Parts: sequence; structure tokens; C-alpha cells
Amino acid sequence: MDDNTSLEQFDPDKEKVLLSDVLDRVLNTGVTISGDITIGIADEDLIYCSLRLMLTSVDKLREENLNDSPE
Amino acid sequence: MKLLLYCFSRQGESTPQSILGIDGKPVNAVRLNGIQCFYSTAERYPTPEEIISATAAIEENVAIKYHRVIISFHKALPILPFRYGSFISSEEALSSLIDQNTNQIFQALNQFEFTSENSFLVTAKNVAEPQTPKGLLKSDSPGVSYLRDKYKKLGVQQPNEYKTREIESVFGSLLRENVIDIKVESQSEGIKIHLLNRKKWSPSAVEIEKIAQQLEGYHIRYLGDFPPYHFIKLNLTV
Repeated sequence: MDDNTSLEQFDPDKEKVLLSDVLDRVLNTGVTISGDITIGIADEDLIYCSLRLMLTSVDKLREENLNDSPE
Repeated sequence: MKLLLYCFSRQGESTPQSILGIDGKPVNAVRLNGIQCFYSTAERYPTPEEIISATAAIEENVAIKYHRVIISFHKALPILPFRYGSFISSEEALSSLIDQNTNQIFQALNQFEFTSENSFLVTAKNVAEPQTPKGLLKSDSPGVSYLRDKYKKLGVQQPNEYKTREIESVFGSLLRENVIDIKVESQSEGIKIHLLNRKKWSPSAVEIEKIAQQLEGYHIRYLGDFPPYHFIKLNLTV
């Protein structure tokens, strides 16, 4: 499908996977468990938080860049 | 040895024999109180690099691998998927988890048994060439490359121009026969629309095209048919 098409089909089995969507889905939604017998990935929240911060920082960069653009 | 949990389903559902876990590990199940929980074993926890390294090599990313296992289950039977990173210490501990939360799990299985989730990414069309942000060209480190790519993607979008309610309304009105609930997420990539469907159903190309026609000025990307991830609110305690 070319870039001019407003409708695009997403195929998770192909390389064009939207990483951010998959990460959002599998790291941020679904059944959760908590308690003494559950051991999560120690840094998972930190990783996810870092990713969020990275995305936020890019948004900020974009915003600043737009503000700096000549009229 | 740890157990990496994939999903719950009803015990009566036939177990898909062909599904393999992450890295080809066999999938096993603990069955108790009419509920089955699928898992595979893991010797160690994944490293942070294995989780976020997909910007370099998607095939190596464990979250993507986990996602593919979940989708295989979803295609085979009604499930409640776990959030990735749900490890448990033993089959006994898993039995205890099911036993102590049987009512909650059954309630969710009943609620979502015939449902699925269809998701779309809606982004504004804006063909303006993005300018390179200052300071990003001086390094070629993986982090800078990631930021540069991300910036380029963001540069062709105008998040402030999204008419969220209008977009939600168009999706709801055109697909209401099949849709029970809608969730809208506003993210840096665009607006994500998650539809909870009455059954395992995916919109046809014609239906999606109708939506696209009503949302002039926006790109619509169909993300796929998933388990009802964004609608399950199940936090189990032990």
C-alpha cells in the first residue's frame, strides 16, 4: 500500500510491526498479579517509564523546534 | 526455574497443541476449578536490552515474541492475556493464585468470552517536511538514531488538531452493531481507538474505508484483532 493511501492494513507477522503499540499492549494492559509469590522483572517499570520519558522528550523537542521555526 | 504466564481460559476449551511459548518452549497448563492457565518455563528473567532492543532487531525483542504467542492463543480460543513480565515461582504457586481468585477470573471469562478488541491508529495528515531538531545530527548512537526516527514520525503529525470526540463518534456510529465499548487513547503517535466487539469480528475493508471517508484529513491504520487487552481490569492478589 503506498504512502498516499489513507487506509493501511497492519500485519503483526511482518517487519512493519508498530513496536510502540505492541509494547503498550503487552507491558501496560492485561491481567496483573501482585503478592509475595509473584516476581516480576525488576526493572520493567523503569524500562517502561524510560520509554515514556523518551517519547515525551521527543515531543518536547518537536514543540521547541516548532517554536524556533521562522514565521 | 520460573513460570512465564501467558493467559487464562476455561478448562473446557480444547488446548491448542501446536502453540509454542517464547523461544520455542513447550506450553503447559495448570488446571483448577474449571480454569486453565497456560505457561512456559524460563531459566532467567529477560534483560532490559532484550525488552527494548527491538529498535535494532525486532525479532530479538521478547515483548514482540510474547505478543506473538498471545495472538496464537487468541486465534485458537477465548483468553484473558497476562501483562508481559508475569512470572511465578512454581505450579503450586500458580494453583494457589487460581484458587484464591477463582470468582474474579470466572467473572472476567464470562464477561469477555465472546469478545475481541479491534484497534486503530488515527493520525492527522500533514505532509509538511519535518525540520531536524537542533543537536540531533551530531551523533549516530542507537539512542540518537531512535530519537531521530521518532522525531521524523512525529514531525508529520499534528496531535493538537485531533478531534477526538468526532473520531470516536464516527467509529461508534458506523460499527455500533458489533461494538460494545470504545476506548480512546491520545498518544504521541496519534489517537488509538480500541473497540470491544461482541464476537470475534474484524471490520471489513469496506467498513474501514467508510470510516476513512468520514474522517477527511486523517490516516487510519488498522492495528489488528486482539484479545480485549484494554478492557480487562483484573488484578489478582495472593
